[in-house]
Amino acid sequence: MIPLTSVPPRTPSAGSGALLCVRDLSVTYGGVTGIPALRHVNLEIQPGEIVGVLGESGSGKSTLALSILGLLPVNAMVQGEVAFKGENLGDADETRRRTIRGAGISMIFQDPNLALSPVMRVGDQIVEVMRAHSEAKPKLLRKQCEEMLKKVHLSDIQRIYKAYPHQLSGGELHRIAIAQALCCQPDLVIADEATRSLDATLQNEVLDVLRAARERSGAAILVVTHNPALLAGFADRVVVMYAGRIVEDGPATQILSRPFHPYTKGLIELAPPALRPSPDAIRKLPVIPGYLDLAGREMRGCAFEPRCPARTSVCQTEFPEEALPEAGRRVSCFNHAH
Amino acid sequence: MPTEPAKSLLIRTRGLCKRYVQRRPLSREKFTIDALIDVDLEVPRGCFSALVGESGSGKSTLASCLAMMESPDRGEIWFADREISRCSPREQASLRPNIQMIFQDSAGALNPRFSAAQIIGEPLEIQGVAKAEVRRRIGELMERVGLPPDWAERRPTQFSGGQRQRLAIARALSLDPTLLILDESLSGLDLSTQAQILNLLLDLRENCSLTCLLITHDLSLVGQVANVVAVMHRGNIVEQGTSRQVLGNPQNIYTKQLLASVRLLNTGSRAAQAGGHR
Repeated sequence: MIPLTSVPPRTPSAGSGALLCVRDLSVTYGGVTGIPALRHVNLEIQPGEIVGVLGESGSGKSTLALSILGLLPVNAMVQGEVAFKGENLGDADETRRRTIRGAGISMIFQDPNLALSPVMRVGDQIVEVMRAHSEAKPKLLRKQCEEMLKKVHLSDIQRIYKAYPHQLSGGELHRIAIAQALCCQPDLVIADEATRSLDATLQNEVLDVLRAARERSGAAILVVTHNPALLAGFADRVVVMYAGRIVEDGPATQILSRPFHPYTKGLIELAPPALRPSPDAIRKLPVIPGYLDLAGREMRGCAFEPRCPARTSVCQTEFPEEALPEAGRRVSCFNHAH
Repeated sequence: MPTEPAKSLLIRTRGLCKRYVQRRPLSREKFTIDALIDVDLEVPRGCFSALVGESGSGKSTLASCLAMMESPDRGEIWFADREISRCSPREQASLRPNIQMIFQDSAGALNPRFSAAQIIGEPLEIQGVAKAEVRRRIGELMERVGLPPDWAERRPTQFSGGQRQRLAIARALSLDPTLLILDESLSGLDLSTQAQILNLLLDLRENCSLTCLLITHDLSLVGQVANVVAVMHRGNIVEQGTSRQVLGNPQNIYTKQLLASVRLLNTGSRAAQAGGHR
């Protein structure tokens, strides 16, 4: 395969074994008085693990994804640590970060139309990423690019290679974006709402391609989504975020079938368990009342308290520290046992 | 010879065809796209109808034809007892308040320089409604869609995605339409916001005799709210009927494939609960 500029760990943390380790990460947009987007986030991702980050718009999911890659806007104030293979990315200079991006950690964005250049052939765009991390000759890189296009289930490779983005369908473009993210065999792939605008058939195809990539190269995958149904049968672990904090974390099968946090329960209620062709008596759909108020939310107490059906007086005044109700699970809620 | 549709149908199209001719970039070569091929769609009055299909199946082209933003190449569109595809521009202008459309990108559909009040009041002013009446209606419409009337001076950027869609719905409702077309209007929203907007539309349908046509690729939404479903594939309506018929007992192979690919959250105790609905 591609002789890559490898991304070796510089200061491996003894015994942890985690591929990615986020410690006490806080991000605020617009300076000290700005809006906190992430607050004291702790997260570990093991090699080959598929982790789903679940939450509504404004919960901090995308900020977490961008802070791992070091792609936050300039007005973001970052505190805490992101360690990849034991190396603190906060200490890395831009050259080092560029080496890691693509070869170590890559990202699939929501809209491939925006992620791909409209004036370059898509094949050349994939080869460009490979060239940034490899000294191999152009012919070899092109061959490897074509192999990668086959791996993401694209047919008529010659046509696809030479096509410009506007000449391809939405599904083909998504697979190109995935091929670009996987071409340097990264250890971690971040998919930020990569299937949000896709219809059900294409959604499943994209998930199949990602799953196959994990099985082939052992890459860990971080899937950012607002839809719990997407994670069922796909993710190994689910992390639920609300107002910039991780409020629940645990194995996907357990979280989706037995959630502890009222917010997770609310999110799961929203996803239909079955297609219900019952038009005669259409019922009101379940909702999580209210909305996530980024600007006006209180720093004290639980951020979900105004919308929570299980709130008690303590929720208003004190912040719920993390509890470990079961092995491998953590939850931030005073009333998780009810 | 055009035939007038049954009174229970608000919209009926017959043999609707639309072809786009495009030129390849940097080339003189032309190619055609048949976006609609002999489309026969029926939307019953007062129902929540859904038009589903993959991207590129022709759903939005059909919506644009129904909203008189595109003219079909062939075929008829009956709105109640009028054939509207061949109307003069003047007749179309008089019919437009009856058919309102809400788009996917609420941020792009609302003028960022306008306040919420200006956005909602503009269609009323164009229709010549007196200023005092416009002001009264703005507050009323904002309340009806669940927005606080004292937010009337806020700009679209100060609203969240769901609130902007509510604003777009308020603007559409300002003209008391008979038909509201939602072209992928819920696609970019969270599940909770989607459910809130759908509940609002269900309320409006009940209280204002509104007919809704929801255009979407998300079948899980359709199963929850629609009375009537039409499935589009490559410019054709391949199946249409009641929600119970289409989702419960699909006949077309494409509909079956589409239903099989819907991702549902059917885990643990929910599986037993859902069993009864299947």
